[in-house]
Amino acid sequence: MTRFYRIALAVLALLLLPGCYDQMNLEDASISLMIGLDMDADNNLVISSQSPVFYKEAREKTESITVKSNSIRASRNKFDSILTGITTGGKLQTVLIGKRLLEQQNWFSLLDLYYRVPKLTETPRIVVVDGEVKDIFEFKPADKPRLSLHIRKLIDTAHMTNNTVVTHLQEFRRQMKDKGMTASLTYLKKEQNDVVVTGTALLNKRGKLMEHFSIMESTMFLVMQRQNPRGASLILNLDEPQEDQAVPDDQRGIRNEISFDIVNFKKKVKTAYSNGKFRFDVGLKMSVIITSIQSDNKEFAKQSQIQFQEKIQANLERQFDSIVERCQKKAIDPFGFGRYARAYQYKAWKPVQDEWGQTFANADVRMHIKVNIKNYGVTDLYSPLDGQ
Amino acid sequence: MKKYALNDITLIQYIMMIHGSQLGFGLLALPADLANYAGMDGWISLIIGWLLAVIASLFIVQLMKKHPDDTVYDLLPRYFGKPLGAILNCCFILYFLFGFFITFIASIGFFKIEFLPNTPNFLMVLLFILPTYNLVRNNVRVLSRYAEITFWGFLWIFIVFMYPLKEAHWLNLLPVLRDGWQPVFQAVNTTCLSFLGFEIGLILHPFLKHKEHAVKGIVIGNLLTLIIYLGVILICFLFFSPDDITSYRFPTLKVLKIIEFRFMERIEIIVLVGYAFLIIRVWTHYLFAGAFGISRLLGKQDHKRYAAITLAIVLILSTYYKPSNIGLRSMLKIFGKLGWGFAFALPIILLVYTKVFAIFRKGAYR
Repeated sequence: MTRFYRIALAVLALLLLPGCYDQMNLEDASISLMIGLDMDADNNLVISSQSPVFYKEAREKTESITVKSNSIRASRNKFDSILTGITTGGKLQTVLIGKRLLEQQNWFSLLDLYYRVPKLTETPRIVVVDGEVKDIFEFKPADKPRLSLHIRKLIDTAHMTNNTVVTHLQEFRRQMKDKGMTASLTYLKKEQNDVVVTGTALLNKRGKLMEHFSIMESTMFLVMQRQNPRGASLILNLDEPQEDQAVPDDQRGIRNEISFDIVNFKKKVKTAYSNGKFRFDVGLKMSVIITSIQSDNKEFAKQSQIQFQEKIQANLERQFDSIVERCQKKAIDPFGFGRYARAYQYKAWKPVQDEWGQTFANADVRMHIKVNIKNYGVTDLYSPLDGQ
Repeated sequence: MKKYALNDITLIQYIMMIHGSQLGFGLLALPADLANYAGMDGWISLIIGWLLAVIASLFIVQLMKKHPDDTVYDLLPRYFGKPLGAILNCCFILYFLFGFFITFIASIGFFKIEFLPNTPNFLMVLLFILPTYNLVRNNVRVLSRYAEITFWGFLWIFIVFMYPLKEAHWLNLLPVLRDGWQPVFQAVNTTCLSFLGFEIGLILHPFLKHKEHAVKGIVIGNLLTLIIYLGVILICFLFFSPDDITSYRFPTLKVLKIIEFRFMERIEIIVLVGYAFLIIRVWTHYLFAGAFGISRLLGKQDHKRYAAITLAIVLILSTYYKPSNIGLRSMLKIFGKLGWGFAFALPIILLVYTKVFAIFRKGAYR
């Protein structure tokens, strides 16, 4: 009798299996891997989506679609009425944002869907496109994998070599919501035959594009930003106006350039507040390995370690100062100095936390850089005996 | 006479039972709740809440020590006489059953919203009721074995939680006590609900093999819970911005969403399934305590039938009654308030009562 009951129960349970109301068959799904948000010339929101096609008969392996719509959710209905499958966003890899959209007030709320619905992922990279998003979606490179995967990979590898930041949706939300910092996103551009990473886009608290860093500046920004910029490699131009130049400056093809990898890095921020003004003393201590010295001037290459260190220090300090200054001018704080202010000068921070950008613009930021050359590599450009 | 001799559990099983009854639904929303009241100083409130829980636990052990073979259901009639004791027992039974009901419904609501938003409620309830019954129909020894094996078996979940630390921002925690002590104390109330579960000690004590270790056991059980809570809270605090953490309903799960390996994404789904194995202990223990109480009250040996009836009622109820998120929250709050009474205040009152009792009727009850 008990056996009968057991079997009956098992059969009953089996009968309930189709009760999984949330099932989705892969062949019914159109898996959106990349989504683009942009504004067209008439201020309509334009939403594009790209998904892979698995049918053998199809010649193109991806389908792209662009619709006008008021929200991401509404665009899905339009996608569904055109695409073969039901659009799902659970595997999204990249979100492209057009430059024109960034002009809109509070465009950030468009992304609410991704944070609210547990089914969607939080790791898609979010990218600002210099130009029209549509151009990227229409682009079909012959020598690349599926564009959506290519772009994701491009961003991730560009980040590995410290060329740009990589900001996923969750991190972006943190940067937007934290009062002590502003957001920084990957900056992309569609050129003739390529999609090119051009650096870092910097937004203000309202999500407006205020400034952008070039690739070199992005590297410096990342060095400053991160606790451990492993293997960041910097290239400095150490040209100085020389009195007795053999060749006029604009004809010189070979510049005095030194490049090095950072192997050890320490950052220390001292926060002070006096007379209604914040002051940040940023101490950056780095040990570097020289990877190349090039010069058309023999004397330059034969300088002593201390001379090199001093020159690199002075040069870096100038460059760091300039990127901080530029951000201060635009009243943005992608570095997160506000978080130091909150942590160490809470009393002074509390009244100004809602307009931190303005306060930061008046703050006094001083960079103190210490470079220690650990290693020159295994060969010198000139033998030390040369020219003696 | 030793009533529960065949069923005794070891110290480690006792620890795991206590710990397993605590580690439940509370963990998922705790970081946001704490940040809501105390900001980034919530971890201090948590430690205070833990201290209170430990004190209450010690009182429970003291209370049970005198009659080592009694559960609370035997104890109350002994002190208050049959009629009054039965009424008090009913209160305890209702408390445990309510605890079962609210943790069960809240967890199912949570799994529904995270996993299967379109699946009807009663199917979800059925899905969880079957294993629950399979577990709860057994005696304490089996329950405690389950509690232990799941603890060791799902320890990896807490290793997964280490991953988001790579995006930790230690500055978030500073300054400590930014707005003074007052908000910290306000948040203690919230932590109380998260530590509820140690009152299962009221039932477990006679089953423990070596009663002299009871104090050690209950403190370690609480400590395990504290360590896990503290770790998870700190990870959430370090990861989310202090200005934003309160806008998440379940930050504990959200923090896992950023985990991605080359070969796999969406790790949080797997963690959540693992967590289901842990969280089932909470309501099963409560249900056991309730059903066991009913069987004591009616003088029956077997609690199986009453557990089955309760589960059937819940299943039928779930087809008609679907509490909203807000309804659930207010019910959890009520349970928290009841918890203050039954788990924190009552043992102390009872202990004082027994002391007075002992003075007046010296040696009468041995």
